[in-house]
Amino acid sequence: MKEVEKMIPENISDLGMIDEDSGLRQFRGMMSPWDKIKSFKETYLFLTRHAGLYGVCYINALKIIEPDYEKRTSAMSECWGQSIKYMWSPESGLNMKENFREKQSIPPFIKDGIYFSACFADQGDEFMAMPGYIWYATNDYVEKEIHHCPFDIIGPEACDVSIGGAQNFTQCACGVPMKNYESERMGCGDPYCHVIFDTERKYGKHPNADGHDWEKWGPAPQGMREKGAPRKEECEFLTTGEYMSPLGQRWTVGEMYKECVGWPLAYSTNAVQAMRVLVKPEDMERAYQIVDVIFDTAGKSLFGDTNLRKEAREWMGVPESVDDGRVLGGYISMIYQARCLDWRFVEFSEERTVIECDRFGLEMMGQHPEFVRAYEAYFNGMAKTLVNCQWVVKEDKTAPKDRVRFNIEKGLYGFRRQKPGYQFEKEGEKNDQ
Amino acid sequence: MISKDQSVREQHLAVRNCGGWYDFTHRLLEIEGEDVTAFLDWIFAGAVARVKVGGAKYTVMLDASARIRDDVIIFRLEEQKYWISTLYMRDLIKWLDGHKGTYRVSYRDVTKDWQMYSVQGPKARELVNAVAEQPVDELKFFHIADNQMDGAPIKVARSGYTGEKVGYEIYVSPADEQRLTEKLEAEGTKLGLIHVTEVDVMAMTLACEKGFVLMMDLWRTNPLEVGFEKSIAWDTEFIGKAALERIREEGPKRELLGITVDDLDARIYGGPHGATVMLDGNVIGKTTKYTFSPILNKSIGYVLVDKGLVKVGDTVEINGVKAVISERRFLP
Repeated sequence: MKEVEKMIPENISDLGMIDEDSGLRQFRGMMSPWDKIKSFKETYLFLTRHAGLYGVCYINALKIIEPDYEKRTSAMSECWGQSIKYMWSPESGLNMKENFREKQSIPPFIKDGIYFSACFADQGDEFMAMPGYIWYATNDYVEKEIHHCPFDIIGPEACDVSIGGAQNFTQCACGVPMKNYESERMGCGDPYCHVIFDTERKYGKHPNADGHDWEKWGPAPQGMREKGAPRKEECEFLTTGEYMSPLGQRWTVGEMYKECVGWPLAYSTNAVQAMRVLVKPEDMERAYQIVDVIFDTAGKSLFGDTNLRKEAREWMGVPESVDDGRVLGGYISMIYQARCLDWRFVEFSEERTVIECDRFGLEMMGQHPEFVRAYEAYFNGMAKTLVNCQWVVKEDKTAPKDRVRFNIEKGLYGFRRQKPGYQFEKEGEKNDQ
Repeated sequence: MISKDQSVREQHLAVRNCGGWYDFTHRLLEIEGEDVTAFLDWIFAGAVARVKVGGAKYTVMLDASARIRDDVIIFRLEEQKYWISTLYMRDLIKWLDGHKGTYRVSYRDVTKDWQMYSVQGPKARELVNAVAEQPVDELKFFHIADNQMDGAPIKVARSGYTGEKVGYEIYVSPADEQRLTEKLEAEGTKLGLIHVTEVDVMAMTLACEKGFVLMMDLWRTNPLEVGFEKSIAWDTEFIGKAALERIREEGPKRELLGITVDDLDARIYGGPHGATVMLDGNVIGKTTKYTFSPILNKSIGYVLVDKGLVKVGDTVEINGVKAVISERRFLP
């Protein structure tokens, strides 16, 4: 028997300096078990794209669970809207308005208006790695164009849910009736997103005022974008190290990363919440199975092309001699590092890789336990193509309650279906069936 | 857009022609202690020690690379007590905490203790005299003094963000705020001054006409790039001095200039993201601010460009729009 290679990489950890504001690593990066270091920028873009792919899976699953577009988008948007309204209400005790004002350095003399939205939305776009320009910013009108979006692959639902969320947020924060809408969206195939916020006191009601919060899309009343601006390829703060809001508040990259880590599975959380509302309890297991299938497919597809598999191995610096569960463990560790989860390898050998992380973080503040099962299916799918079909990923239910542990080891994927009554041939006997 | 906004136009012109008043409360830090003057001299690049009691100073706070971190107004209330008026309190406090060392100073955020109302324009003095118990005729520019309003204590500073020759800022406690606004409304109406409600008038159009800046204009610049050389106290020690001296020797690499655009429908953005400024097909800088001047009836703004490439009167291109370089101060 081949001697088991056993190594638990010990130096895979946060990289870079501690940022005092966020407590996270400033300019954080990732490191593979084979010492391949990834830069801050690459880590940031990896995180947001991972979130986009994860969102695609969940929302595609939701399309099967609830084929009606209006029902599922309304469910996603309204669930989010309810939580925003509650968080911003005095009853929540969270003091959101005052905290937001302090955090964004909104001057005391600005009592209400679209500058609140501009600060929220622009920073939100930037920390989700969506570069763009603000064409206009006054206290009654803000118009922005976004040139890249890691979430456009999710499709129109993402755009609609974003608009619904922004509507609700600005209603809570702005203090004046306002409206916002998107006249162009990358999620729908446009070359860029074009978003407008304006107040009703200056610009009147939206043409679709009676529609759903998320149905606020359409031509901008002030006219369309001029096409003279060069396309922005990436957010400036990824290069300069600092972001500045429309009202001049600076944010370090560490702070931006911390905000991003709190949001990236945003569309997936919307989908989970919608499922809880749309699906009857007796049908929930079936819904979970649909989610499993979608994630399994996605995981397999991620490395299904042999070229992509090869590139993934090169990306992590996997030696030729390693072609087992450790390869997948390495990739999972990159996801965990990008998501700033507290994680470790419990075991890391040719026979078996066990990786665990903090449950609270994986479930996005402990509120989405469904994510664990989805990740299991996702990683299980990945195992088939990144390694081979002998490998399975299963959650280890004996792990401590606050940890999620995935075992990556060889095992049967499903079962071999037998013809009823058929028996395996015993040695020396012939079976005529 | 803002150029077509009648309310903005009207309020802006009213302030220039007669006057206006509005809530313009900034964040306020009260700082005191035995070493306060020396500490502020270290933190800020202007000579705070030279400010007499009752005086005020506009100055900047630099980092070790001489980049501007904040621009503030400092009021000297007493020999060892100051107010710092800023928009970025959390960053300021963090900075002071980080550089306090053994200086014997203490500071606290007093924003909630004081509301500030700005009264600006040709008839501003008359309105303030109608509201305050003691006349402010002798109050010099960039000075602050105690006063009263119907027995309630207030402070009146001769300052503002409009570039008006006559302008005041009244500090009042929240308990007396309503009384102040009622008096401003009543007396202001008699004198023809309006209550300004448009934030864009308070913070953008009036200020930009006179060349005033915001942090979005100063972000990642040093004082020499934005015309602040005369306000630097070269004979004192302050954070960023060594780097600034090097920059002075080598010469600043960029300059903050004005632009005017005749086409009121042209769409350019200033602000932190900025729009690219082109000259003969080459990128020479970016915009930092873009707004409208009702007085000139043109769009105006600022550009931060490589030094020496353009002069007043030259034409540049911004997002396909022609813009003319001008002095940053558009009105005398």
